Amino acid sequence: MKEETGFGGSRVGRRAMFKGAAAAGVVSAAAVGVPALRPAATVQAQSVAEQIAQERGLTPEDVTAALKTYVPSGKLDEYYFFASGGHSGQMLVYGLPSMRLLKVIGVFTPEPWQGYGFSEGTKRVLEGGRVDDEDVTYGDTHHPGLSETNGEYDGQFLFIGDKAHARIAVIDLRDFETKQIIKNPHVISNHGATFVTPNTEYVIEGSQYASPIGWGYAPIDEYKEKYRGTVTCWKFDRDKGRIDPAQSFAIEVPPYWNDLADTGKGPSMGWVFLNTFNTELATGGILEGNPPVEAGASVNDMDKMTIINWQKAAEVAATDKAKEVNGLKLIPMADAVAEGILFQIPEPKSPHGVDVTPDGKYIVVAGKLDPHVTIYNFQKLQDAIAAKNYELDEFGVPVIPFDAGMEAQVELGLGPLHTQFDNRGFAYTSLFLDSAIARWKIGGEGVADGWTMVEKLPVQYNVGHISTIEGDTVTPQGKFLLAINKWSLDRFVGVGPLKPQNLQLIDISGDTMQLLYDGAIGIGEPHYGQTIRAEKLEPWVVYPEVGWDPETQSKSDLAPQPGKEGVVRDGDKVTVNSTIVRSHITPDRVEVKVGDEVTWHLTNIEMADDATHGFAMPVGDVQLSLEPGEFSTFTFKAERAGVYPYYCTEFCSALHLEMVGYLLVSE
Amino acid sequence: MAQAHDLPVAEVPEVAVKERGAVGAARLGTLAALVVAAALLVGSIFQSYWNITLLAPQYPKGLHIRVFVNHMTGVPETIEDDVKEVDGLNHYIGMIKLSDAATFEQMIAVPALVLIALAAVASWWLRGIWRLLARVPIIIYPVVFVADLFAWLWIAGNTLDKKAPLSSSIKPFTPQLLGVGRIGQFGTEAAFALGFWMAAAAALVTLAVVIWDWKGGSRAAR
Repeated sequence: MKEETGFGGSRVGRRAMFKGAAAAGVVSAAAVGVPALRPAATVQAQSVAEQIAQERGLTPEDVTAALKTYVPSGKLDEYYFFASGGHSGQMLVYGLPSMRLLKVIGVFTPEPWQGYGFSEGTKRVLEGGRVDDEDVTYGDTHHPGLSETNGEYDGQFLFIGDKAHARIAVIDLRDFETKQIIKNPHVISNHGATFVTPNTEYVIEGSQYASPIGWGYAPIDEYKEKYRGTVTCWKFDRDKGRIDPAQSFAIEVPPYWNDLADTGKGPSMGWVFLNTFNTELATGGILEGNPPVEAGASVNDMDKMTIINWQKAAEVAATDKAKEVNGLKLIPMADAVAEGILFQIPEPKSPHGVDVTPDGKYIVVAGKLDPHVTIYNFQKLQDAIAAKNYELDEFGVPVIPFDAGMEAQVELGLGPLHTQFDNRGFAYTSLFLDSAIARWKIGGEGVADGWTMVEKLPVQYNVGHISTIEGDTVTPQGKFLLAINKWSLDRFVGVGPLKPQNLQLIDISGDTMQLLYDGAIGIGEPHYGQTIRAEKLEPWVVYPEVGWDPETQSKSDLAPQPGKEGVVRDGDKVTVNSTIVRSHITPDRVEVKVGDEVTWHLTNIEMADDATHGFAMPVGDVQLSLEPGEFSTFTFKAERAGVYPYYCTEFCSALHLEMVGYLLVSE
Repeated sequence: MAQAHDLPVAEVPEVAVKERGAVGAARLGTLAALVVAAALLVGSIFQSYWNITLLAPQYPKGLHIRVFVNHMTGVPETIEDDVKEVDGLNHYIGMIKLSDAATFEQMIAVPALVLIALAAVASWWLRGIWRLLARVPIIIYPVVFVADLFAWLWIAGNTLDKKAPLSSSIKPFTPQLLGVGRIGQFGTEAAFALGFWMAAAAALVTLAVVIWDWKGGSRAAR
């Protein structure tokens, strides 16, 4: 078919012209239509969002809060929040800003999911925390401390204190498992623990309720003479990942009750500051006609902050001035004073938090029963010490006059407790009685409007500790603040009289603080927590090698290898060597006799991400977690004839239910 | 090959001396080509020949197997050992372990390839049928590799252990040699990799030398 000539005689076919027009149309649609279409789609999405917001009764503020916290499926949180688990004895790990609970780390209490307290290795860790040779299966965890390098969190280790028994635990952040628990042999309770020095040289533990040192008996009438507090400096061996008690020491202090502590940094490096209360030396005696402790310990207008030079103390601890008490060195109070290690300064009554500013120049003390925070200037304290501007008190401790060390007081509201910092020169203090967070400006040379209150944000309810991102380091990151609230009252649907606590996320990046989210904590009270940028941690995906022993963090010679599984008998001692892999346990038949002592070694020979197997047995209280590459051991005595199926407790694969074996115990 | 036609025409006696020099240069050129081919072949030992990626919902990063002439690896930069993981998965369907496949070939591969490369270079000094025979191995080697790979894939997929847990749900099959395949919940993607292409290039270069020699040789014989 002959094509018609087009306009101007050029041979352009009609079809070709049509095609050209169509192409031009598409192009114009692309050029004009896309910018037009995109807003249309956005408008549509907006109207859907508005509709949802309307249906759910959300305000525009609610919507922005949701947008700031929502982490879509498949995306990761930016921060870890490590919170104590209170008297659950455990540690909590949250992701921020999603507030997702990532893990509950077993610390002072057995935790079957992780096999913690069931394998021989983890039993040994818990045994390290025995009190007077007795097993203790709970702890009252209060203040976690992340390991630091140059005053910044380094993401390697985490420490946590147990107030109830004066114990310290070390968690390795490569596998998020507890590696060590040690009991303080001098004192029976702590509170100011754990606070690490800027390079994790020492982990500081302040005792709380005074008692005779070495944990003996003395009549309560002899409180002033026989009861004492201590400040223990636990030496941390980073290479071994363990506290080394042989290199650690304590300093004897008066029998006031030590409260929180913080270590100096920058110019105040080498010093540690602890609040004390009960300078009244009240010991109760309600039935004897005395006022209860709460009244007796709140009489004086001023208590005392304890100031300790831990660097000098470390030098003195190496001399024979330090005496050993129950295997741990103690620098007697008189020697600590004589050596210029121990000082005090008055502080407003019943203080709680003591927090060093990021530049290390100031120490902020929150009054608890005083509406102010009191700020001490470290240089002024040093000047007073150099000028011997102090008087010895009834315990012979040099006390610096309040005015000589005080820099400023900022009135914030009722019940100031704890202070954290951001990257814009603001400090944040929790107000327990006001149930609010106060934002105030740090002062100092060249700072306009320093030492002034800026803003207050109500929180729900009875806020205790707070945590900003790396907010107690030399480089706070700002952005978010967590209010760790003691009461939740009406914030969650009911779960009976024991209510979850309310962990509230607050945006502090703007000119005004915005409350973003209520997170329920369904386990013990997280007194304090620390927040760290996620990129600072390098947790293992799987253990580095097959046959890895998490207790020693090395490959174990005892770890059963594939092809070498079996049951070895030596008299009535039976050793079982097992490997586990999706989806079988080798051997899957084990025969022993009543009276046999069985040692069972297991290796998860898998190296695939997330290929964890559990190992549960209905005899011997056995529940292990064998993570990829992990080696673990348990022991039990066969007491009763019977047939006991053992099986994998993690739904590891499609044939998980088939991952089973029989333990046959015959007469 | 284009250069072969551009060369001075041998029939012109006036340029015979010049032409002899050109032929000498061309002879050296064939030596260089054979050395390049040999180097490519020896170099291919250090590169994977064939890669297969397995994708499934629970392996968002995929499992990666790289087949070298003498060993297999996963992706080195990940902590997971993908070869082991694939073996672990294969046990469900009763497939042989990757480490049990082509063990003889893997054992002889390195010395064999070095010998083949040396033979290709040595052929330059040989004549007649010996010259051709010394060049045949390097030329046919890529085809032999593919045939052997296919044979092992067939063996792997068609000798499934009937006692394996999932033997009843997977019928014998031959895994895809190239392109996209599917086994259970796994999608597979297989492709030749740099090592194979190096060996193929070595074969083509050698083949070019053979053809050039054949053409140039016929001229020289005249």
